[in-house]
Amino acid sequence: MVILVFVSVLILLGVAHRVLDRLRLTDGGALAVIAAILVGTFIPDIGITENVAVNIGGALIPIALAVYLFIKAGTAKERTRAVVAAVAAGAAVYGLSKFLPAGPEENQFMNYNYLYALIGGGIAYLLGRSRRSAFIAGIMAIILSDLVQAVVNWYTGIPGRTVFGGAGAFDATIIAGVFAVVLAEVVGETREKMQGGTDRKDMAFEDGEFVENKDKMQRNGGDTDEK
Amino acid sequence: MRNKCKGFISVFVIALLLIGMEAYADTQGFEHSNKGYFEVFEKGTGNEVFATSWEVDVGDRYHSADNKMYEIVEVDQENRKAFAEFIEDIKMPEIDEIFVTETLQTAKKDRKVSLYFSHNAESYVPTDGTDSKSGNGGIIKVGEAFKKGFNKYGVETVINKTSHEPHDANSYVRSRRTATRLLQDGPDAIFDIHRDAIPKEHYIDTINDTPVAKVRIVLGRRNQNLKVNEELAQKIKAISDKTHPGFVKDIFYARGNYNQDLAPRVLLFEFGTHEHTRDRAENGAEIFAEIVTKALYGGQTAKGEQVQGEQDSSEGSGSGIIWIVAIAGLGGLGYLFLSTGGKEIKSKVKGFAKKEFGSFLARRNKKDGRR
Repeated sequence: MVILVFVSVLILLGVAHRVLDRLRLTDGGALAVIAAILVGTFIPDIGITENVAVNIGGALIPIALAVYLFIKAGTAKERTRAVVAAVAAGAAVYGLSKFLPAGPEENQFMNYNYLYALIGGGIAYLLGRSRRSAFIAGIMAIILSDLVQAVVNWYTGIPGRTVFGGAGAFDATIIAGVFAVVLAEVVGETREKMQGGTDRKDMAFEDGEFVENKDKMQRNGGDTDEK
Repeated sequence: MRNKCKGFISVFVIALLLIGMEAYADTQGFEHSNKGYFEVFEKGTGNEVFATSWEVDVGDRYHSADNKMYEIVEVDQENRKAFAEFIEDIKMPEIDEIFVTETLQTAKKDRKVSLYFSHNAESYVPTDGTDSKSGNGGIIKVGEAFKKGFNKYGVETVINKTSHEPHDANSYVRSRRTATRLLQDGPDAIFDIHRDAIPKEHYIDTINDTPVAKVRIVLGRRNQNLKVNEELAQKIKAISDKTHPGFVKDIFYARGNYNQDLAPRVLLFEFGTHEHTRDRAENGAEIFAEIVTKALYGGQTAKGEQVQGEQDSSEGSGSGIIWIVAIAGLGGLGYLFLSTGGKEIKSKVKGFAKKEFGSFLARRNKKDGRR
């Protein structure tokens, strides 16, 4: 039984590590983020009001990472796209939560945690084809949707409690962020595959990286491009 | 000034939109029963197999009161009807003797279960006056009765009454947070307490002249812990069949995971339905606690023989591990296929073999006199 739980957690962390790797974090950085999420999961939630609280591992760390990626974004255009994708995904998640059937058992397509990842990743990919934007949109989709719900609860007197990222490493926030990147990656790679590959298709792969194809260079007199 | 006015109007329209969505969600919040319940018939004979307020879908399975497995093969959404085919007779766990209650009370300590309510507004119309009571539904009282039952047998019971309202598609996203928090205290099992929304005839029962509501167990069939949870659910039903036949009415294997992916021994129980009094559900919950205690912790028979409980069993874990590793493996292979070309795969495999087995192969070559 312990092994079953251990394997489940290990695989989730493995996927998360690969995703952080694709976001160009160093191995050490990715491990530090995962460790912070895990430790943060077990730290008691920080209460903001009687019905609003925030979890460190499930909300604060992923938000901090999203902000870091936002600052690191290459261009102002990419930043704008990330913000638009995050707001659009948040609105879509909130809207869908009202119109979709009220339980996962009634959902005819998929578990909502993964549906929200699909929305975040899909919107971000359509807007910018960027893994960074996909991660930001996936995380912020759930955070913003929860934020709107908390405000609506306060305004209309609904007694529901909002704990941002309350399930820590297992929260919809993390699942949406991680799988939004996986989706962007899979869609991107599939498109490349269907197109017959990128410029690298004419290169050789040696010692973990693509290098000029020596045979082809000799044939073309030192030029890799076949003209 | 005009810009300010536009700003106010925008905020007002957005607020109106959000509240409108909330109102729409409220109309949907008739705790499963807004669209009416499903009646499921056996294909061929036309006999009714069961009714449920859950949505049913092709592929869902149903473990009936008489321990037969059915699978939904056809769904008529418009008329809320579905058809199921008989699959097999279920081989239930052997319950040789009914455990002696007294020994349960004096058995080992450190027993702990946790209870929570994903739909904490669910209520019982004849007692609560409504089927849905915001903030403090009748279902909370049923949870308290369940806790009282557990306490009789020395099981420490944590009851979490966090509200996950409104009753919308995110109820389980929110209750997942509660379930995760409860898991951190290391309970032996976690139970999500609900009530159904079908006619009361399907649920009313009597045990030793006490009016009770029957119990349905719901299993999510899309997670790695299904086998472990199924084993516990069948053990509970097998014990109930011996002591109070028909009281655990059935086991429904539905879509979704109901937070059961978080850990093994996480189950969802339906205590009766909205049409009967809450007392029935409370009485049933107290009796049910004894059955669950026996299933979880075992105990001694009248002859003094020790019976193992599910808490000490690891059956079902193997298939869960295979399930999750297979999914991860297939996902990894699929991604490798997509993300790498033939050259890259060849080079990576060659590089891996050279790196990992290089020194071993070199030794072999040396031994064989090859250089």
